Amino acid sequence: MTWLPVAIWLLPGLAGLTLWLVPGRAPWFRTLALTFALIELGLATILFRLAATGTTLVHAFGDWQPPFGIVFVADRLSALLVLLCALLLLVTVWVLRPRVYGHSTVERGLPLLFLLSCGLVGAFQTGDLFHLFVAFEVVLLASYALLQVPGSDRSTLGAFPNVAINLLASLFFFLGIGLLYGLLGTVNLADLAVSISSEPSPAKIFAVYLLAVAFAIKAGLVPLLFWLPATYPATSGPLAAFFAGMMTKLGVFALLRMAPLLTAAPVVAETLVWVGAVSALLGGLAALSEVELRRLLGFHIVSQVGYMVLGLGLLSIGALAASIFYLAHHILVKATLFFVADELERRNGTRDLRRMRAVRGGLAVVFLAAAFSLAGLPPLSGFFAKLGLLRATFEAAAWAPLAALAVASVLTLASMLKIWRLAFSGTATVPSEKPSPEKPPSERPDASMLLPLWLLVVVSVLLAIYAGPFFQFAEATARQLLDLEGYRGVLLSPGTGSHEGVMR
Amino acid sequence: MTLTLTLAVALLTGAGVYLVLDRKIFSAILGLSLLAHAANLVMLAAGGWGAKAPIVTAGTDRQLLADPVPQAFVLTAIVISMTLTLYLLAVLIKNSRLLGDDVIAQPLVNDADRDDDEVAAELRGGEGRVG
Repeated sequence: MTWLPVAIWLLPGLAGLTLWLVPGRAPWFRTLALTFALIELGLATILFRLAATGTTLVHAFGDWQPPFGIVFVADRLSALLVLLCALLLLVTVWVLRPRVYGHSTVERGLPLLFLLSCGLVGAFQTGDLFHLFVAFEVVLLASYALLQVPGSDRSTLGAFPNVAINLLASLFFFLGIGLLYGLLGTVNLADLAVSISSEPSPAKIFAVYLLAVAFAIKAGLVPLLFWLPATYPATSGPLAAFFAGMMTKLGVFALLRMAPLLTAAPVVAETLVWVGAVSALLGGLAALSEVELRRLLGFHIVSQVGYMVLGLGLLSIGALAASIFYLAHHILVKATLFFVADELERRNGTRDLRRMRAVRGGLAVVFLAAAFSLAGLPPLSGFFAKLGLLRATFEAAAWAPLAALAVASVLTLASMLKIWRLAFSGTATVPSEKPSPEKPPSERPDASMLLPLWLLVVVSVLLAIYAGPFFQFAEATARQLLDLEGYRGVLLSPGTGSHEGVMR
Repeated sequence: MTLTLTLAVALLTGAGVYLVLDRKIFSAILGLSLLAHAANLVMLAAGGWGAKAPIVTAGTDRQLLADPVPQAFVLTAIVISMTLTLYLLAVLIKNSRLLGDDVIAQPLVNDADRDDDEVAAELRGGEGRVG
């Protein structure tokens, strides 16, 4: 089965290239894309079921025995993120209809979306720091192009600042790799984790800091967050939803993968706790003051990423497990909210919440389910995620971060209520200067538009119903992350390159 | 050798930071490429500044060889930064067509100054403008 991680990685890449070659306006174009996405989801499910039992697939390219050469390691964390990525890819392809979004958006967007997923899947399964860098670049290049899909003034003017900040982050990442290689002579993650903990030195801590800064920029943490709310509203709605679900989480994933390095440099982990707490608070506050729907949700991503990073900075099994639970919950719920936001903005023809007219029906139910889950109201998945995180923070006796989390939680609820009050109940509070068209063309969308969103809501509710078993899975994932000997044993076991190993 | 390398990195970084802070996108692009070169030199230094090409034959003193792995890393990074520079130049052209000037604009963080109909058309998907 060691071909599986490779197949999951190659499929979206080949799918992206295929979709570029075939005529984009053919009626079967979207069917083809949906088929690719379904196969990807199937493969990801197989991988997840394998990983859940503790099997870790190791594929060594060209049979170079680790730590030499590039390896793919599919453990629990990889499998979980690959599964969520495949699910979100399917939903996004499903939502992106030419009839609604125009042919050119679909034609340009779909191939790039698959290439983006290829990069993401590659990053999630890597066992090697330099390959992580390359995968990041694949993701970033695809994302730069995706952000230009609408070709609007807003996306054009937003392009340079976005690329520049990400380029700087990549430089920090590259420098970090260079320093670590110079100090330890390896970029294999298992090898690095073992050799870095042997004798800590200021130079090693500095290198880990560089990596942490790079990932923090990608995750949109304080103080380098302003590219995020400026970028996401500028692109086409479903693409922004995919970004909101996966892109910042790539930064969080990279920090999680670095957890063993963080244990060797506790001062970096401590910094992350504080950065997370401040992000959670500031993101929540900034969101409250926004009147543009997707900008508001963008600041919320900052706030929620703060939660996750705070959890992983604590580095206890419970806190890491809560972070992982939060990660899964947030990918589902945030993407749902962005899909709803897109639907609202399109129906009303404005991004401004104050100008939106009341919307009722299925969309309102989907929004409520996702918004309450995000705010952490029981019995939805966000409640269990927050509960786990608060408990871990309490156990670590980190009182100030605990207070920040609690306040940020109230802020989240407040801004969700703000969206509800302005966009779903009541009328436009600030009328448009021009008389609005009496009936916008997409006023009555068919119910099938909402089907993919219901799928996301159902998965998120299932996450709440099976919160117990899933929390156990998250705990096992956290143990696996910190179990250096096990990781090393699986990865560097003598013999051939590719193999299946078993970790608890 | 190490001193020369350190000075080169310092010079490239200094010039890079200075250019990135410029208002013109073109200068900023040049600055970013200089910074990328500085990072590449650091990576090369990480592999040791060996005197000989890493070809191992009988009787080679391995202490004198350069480490090939960082060189491979740098090669990858050069390709990536070249691609990004090209992309940024395309962005530069689009930006200056829009603004008639090569400056880094304040990104449109909201639609306050924009035409309602234009925003609505943009949000309804429509066929985006190309070029």
